[in-house]
Amino acid sequence: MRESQYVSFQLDRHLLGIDIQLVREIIRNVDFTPVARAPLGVRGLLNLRGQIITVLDLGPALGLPLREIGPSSRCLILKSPEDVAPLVEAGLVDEAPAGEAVGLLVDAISDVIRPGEQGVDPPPANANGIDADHLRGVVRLEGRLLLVLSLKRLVEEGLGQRVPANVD
Amino acid sequence: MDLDDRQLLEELVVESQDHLNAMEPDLLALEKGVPAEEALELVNRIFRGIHSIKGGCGFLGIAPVQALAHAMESVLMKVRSRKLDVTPAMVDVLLDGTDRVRAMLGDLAHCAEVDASSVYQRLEPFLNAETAAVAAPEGITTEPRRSGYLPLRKAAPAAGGADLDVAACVAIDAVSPTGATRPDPEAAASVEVAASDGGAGAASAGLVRGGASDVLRVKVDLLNRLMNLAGELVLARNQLLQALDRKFSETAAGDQVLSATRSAVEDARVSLRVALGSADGSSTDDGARRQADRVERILDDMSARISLALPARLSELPGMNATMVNLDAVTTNLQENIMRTRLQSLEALFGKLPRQVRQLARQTGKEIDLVVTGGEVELDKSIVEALSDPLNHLLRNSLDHGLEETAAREAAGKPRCGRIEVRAFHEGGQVNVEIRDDGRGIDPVRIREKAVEKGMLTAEQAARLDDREVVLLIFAPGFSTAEKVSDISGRGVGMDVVRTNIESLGGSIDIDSQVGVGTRTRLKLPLTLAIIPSLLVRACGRRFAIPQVSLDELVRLREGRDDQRIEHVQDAEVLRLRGHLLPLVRLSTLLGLERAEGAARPAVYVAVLKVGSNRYGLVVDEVLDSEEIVVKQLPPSLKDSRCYAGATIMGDGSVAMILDVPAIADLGGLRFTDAVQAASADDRSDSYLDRTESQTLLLFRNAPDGEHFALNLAMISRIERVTAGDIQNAGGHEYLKFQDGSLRLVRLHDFLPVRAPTAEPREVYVIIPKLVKHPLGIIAWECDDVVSTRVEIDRDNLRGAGILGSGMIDGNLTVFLDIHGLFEAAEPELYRSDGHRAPALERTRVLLAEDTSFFRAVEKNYIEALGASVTAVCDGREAWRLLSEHPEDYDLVVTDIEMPLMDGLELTRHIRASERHAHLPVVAVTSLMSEASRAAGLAAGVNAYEVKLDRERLGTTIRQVMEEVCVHA
Repeated sequence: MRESQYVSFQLDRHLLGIDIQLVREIIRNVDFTPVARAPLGVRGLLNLRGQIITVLDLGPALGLPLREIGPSSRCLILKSPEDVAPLVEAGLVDEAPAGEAVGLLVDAISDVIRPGEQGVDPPPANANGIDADHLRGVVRLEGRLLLVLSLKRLVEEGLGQRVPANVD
Repeated sequence: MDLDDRQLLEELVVESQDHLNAMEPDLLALEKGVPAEEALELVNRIFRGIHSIKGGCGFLGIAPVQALAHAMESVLMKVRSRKLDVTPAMVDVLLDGTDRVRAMLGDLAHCAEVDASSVYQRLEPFLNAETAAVAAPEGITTEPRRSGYLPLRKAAPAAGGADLDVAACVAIDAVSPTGATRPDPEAAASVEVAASDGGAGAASAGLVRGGASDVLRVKVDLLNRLMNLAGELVLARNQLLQALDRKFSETAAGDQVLSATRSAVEDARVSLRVALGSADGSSTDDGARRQADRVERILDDMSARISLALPARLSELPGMNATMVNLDAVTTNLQENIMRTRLQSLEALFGKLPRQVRQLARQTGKEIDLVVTGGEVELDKSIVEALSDPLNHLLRNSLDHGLEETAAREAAGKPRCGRIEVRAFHEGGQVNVEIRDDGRGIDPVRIREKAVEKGMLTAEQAARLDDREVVLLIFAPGFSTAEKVSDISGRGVGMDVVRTNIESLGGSIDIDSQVGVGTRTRLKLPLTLAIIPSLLVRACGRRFAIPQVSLDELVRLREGRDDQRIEHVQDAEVLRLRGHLLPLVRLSTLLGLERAEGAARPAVYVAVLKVGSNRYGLVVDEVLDSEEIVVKQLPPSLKDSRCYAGATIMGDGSVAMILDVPAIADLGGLRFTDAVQAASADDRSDSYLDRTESQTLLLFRNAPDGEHFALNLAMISRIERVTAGDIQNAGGHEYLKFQDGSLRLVRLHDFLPVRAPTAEPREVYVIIPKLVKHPLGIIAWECDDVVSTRVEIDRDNLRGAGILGSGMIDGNLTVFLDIHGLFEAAEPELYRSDGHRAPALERTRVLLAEDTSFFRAVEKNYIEALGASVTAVCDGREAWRLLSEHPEDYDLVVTDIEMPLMDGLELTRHIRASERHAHLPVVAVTSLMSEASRAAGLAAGVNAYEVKLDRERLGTTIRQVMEEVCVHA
């Protein structure tokens, strides 16, 4: 796998990561408007410089409770599919998020991680309770495991555009 | 294919489509017959268009298009060089050709599969006609035609084959004598110019393109992004204003502290000096002295610093205010202009109409003259696109149902040729599109029959509706008046769909028809969908926007109002409003923000919302404000929520959801027919249309951005448009020379707490009322509209002398003027003397029955002004209930005649028939005074019969009736 950088963040007890190329920006403003009758993971809408952003809580899709909003909560705004398309075509990334402007609600932002020498390992069948379907791989850090998310699938599940694979 | 090529192709397709669009109307005009010079110009234009398409497609190797365009061009070339004349058959095949070219360009990958063989076949004769045409005299190219028109026959029957046409045409050409009595040098010149232009097709095409070079194609996506940024700028501006405001107030507070500190320092200095002075005699303690000196120096220093700081602070941010005003203006302007970039002229749509009408005219065998105006009027792109279907439908309706067969027209003494007019124009910030025909009109008798036949109305209900209301029935679902189903206007999917479509665009549709004279359909459309007026409401602490086009009225529920109570029909909540049951939806419950059982909280506001011809009430906690909002698309993940139409960003930067009014009705499980039936089972009277009397109101404003006002048209004698120079000043009042004397004018903002115009316009309107004793003219900045509407007047929201109350009209909060109160405030002297003469009716208790909220408010006002106390109810049945339950509580009944449930006559008959009330005086009021109705009233037993809005006469009558009663008692 090519050399990538991952934005890592805290969600519940997990250290998760997504390819930095998929992230447009990270904002502190998580003061979204809650929307009733939305899919479970859709917490509400946010105004980002005039653009409406769907605030997505990955908790339910990952089998975790909805996130509590705290002082370290952040919103990780994803790039649009159009912005990512050239990167996908150029083979730089191989996944694009869903067809609306999405911001991921996370408990805290950690760091930008370069896997470096050891690279990204394929995901184990079950990493700390997260299904392998939702992971692209893991990076073994000192004493911790960075779980690299399979973002497209997760986001689509979260937005209710795809039925979760692991529903019995 | 590389990127450059793709872009080139895209451009070519767009440009070619533009050419095709321009060619169509030119071809039709040519067929219709135009003066020779113009015809040549048309032919040249068409030629250039097709030539450009040929060139472009040749360059990019799109052979099928190139070939077809070449064939068409060749025919046109012959027309240009006067070897051929234009015939309907030629126009036909050229139009077909443009269709094929369009189809090919629409799907370039498969353009070779488009079958153009029939076009080629029909072009053939024209291409081969050379020899015949060459036989024409040489001189024909330079000599003007005597007729001045290209020879042309009216819509040829399809029987005549193309070949025949050409032959006939050529024959005409050949025999047409060229000996003009007076040679026309101008025509000759233009022909020569055209001829010299002949070989230079490419150059002229280039010229055309050059002429359009100040137009740039911009991606809609980019415009949307610009819109977003402009919206963001507005928000930033608002936040900046707020921050500055805070800063300024802080600064002001800081300045106060500084000033206070300075005086304290001064005080301290003085005290210190005094202390030093008194200590002077016993200057023993040097140490204390030195300390005191130091303190004095410190104080001096502080005082100096404060003195320096103060003026610096006060003059902080010089010119800031002007800058902010400027920023404000520029931002608004920017937003408006970006919005305007999304506008598109109606031309794209209107341009297609002549062609359609031509086709339909052929199918029906009717002769039609189509006049289209206002194509330059601009609307939001999405509205123009969505308007296509409804407009087609209406046009087909006019053509198929509206216009009579030629024979019938002649029999009726009308011109053979039917006329259809399509017109677009701006009015009151909206765009109107009007389709008018001079056909047979809509026959209310036939509609009534049909409505009864279809079980929509009982015969009795149908008879009660006036003709206008009857015509509106064609908008009801499933109603179609076509005697026979035709393939032109189709089955009765008709007008209700048109209406729904127009309403979903935020517009409205209205129809006006006169039997034998014609029908006029008017569409009113917003300029843009990107910004819509809306009402902001709150439920469970969340803000929502309701598009005002869907808002009918706003009802505030108060305890103890029997005429506005929430009832239950089976499990559903309904609101009894003016004798009708309005199904209710609680927004909080619907959105799951509040459990259904927890809904015990009293409902406060009900927004009455329209879905087609149905109404329902949405219960909300709070009504915030009317605001223009920028509509943002709903994210796809929220589409399934089935209750939002979009989202918007509020002034504070937060997001609010825009409610989807029809979807909420669905989601709330409202079944309108059920509710209506339940109501009628209970009430014995309910009809398809609300029976409450509607009133005709003049809507106007006192200032361009000011409040909306309404006055009943029945109270207005006339409206004059006057220039500011016509208004004269005398004794601190303004006057207008009017008829024989002069009329005193009043400006609303002098007497009411309303916005005053910031500038004086050159022309104003003067509204001159009637039915008042001392008329004054009311100055209005703008008269917006005259509407016929049923509106509930809220008397609590807005009150004061001169104001009757407020209500929602067309989604605007509108102030209803009380002319009497206003004039009394303006000329108290005149009215004070009146008051003295009025005999006291203080202990008179009046029961007023009136179904129309407006009249109820007015009449209550009038009667209370006489000193009496008034209990007002909405219909005769309610009045009768009160009379039966509290027989001793009323001294006089004032009743309207036309009311739902129990009308005034029936109420009077009940009163007269009962032992207890037989002698209770009854005054009937009506908006229509006729001898017959007066006789009916008197027969029922009313004591007097009066016109509703005449305050003087109503007062006099009531006094008279009460005096008579006293005398008899």
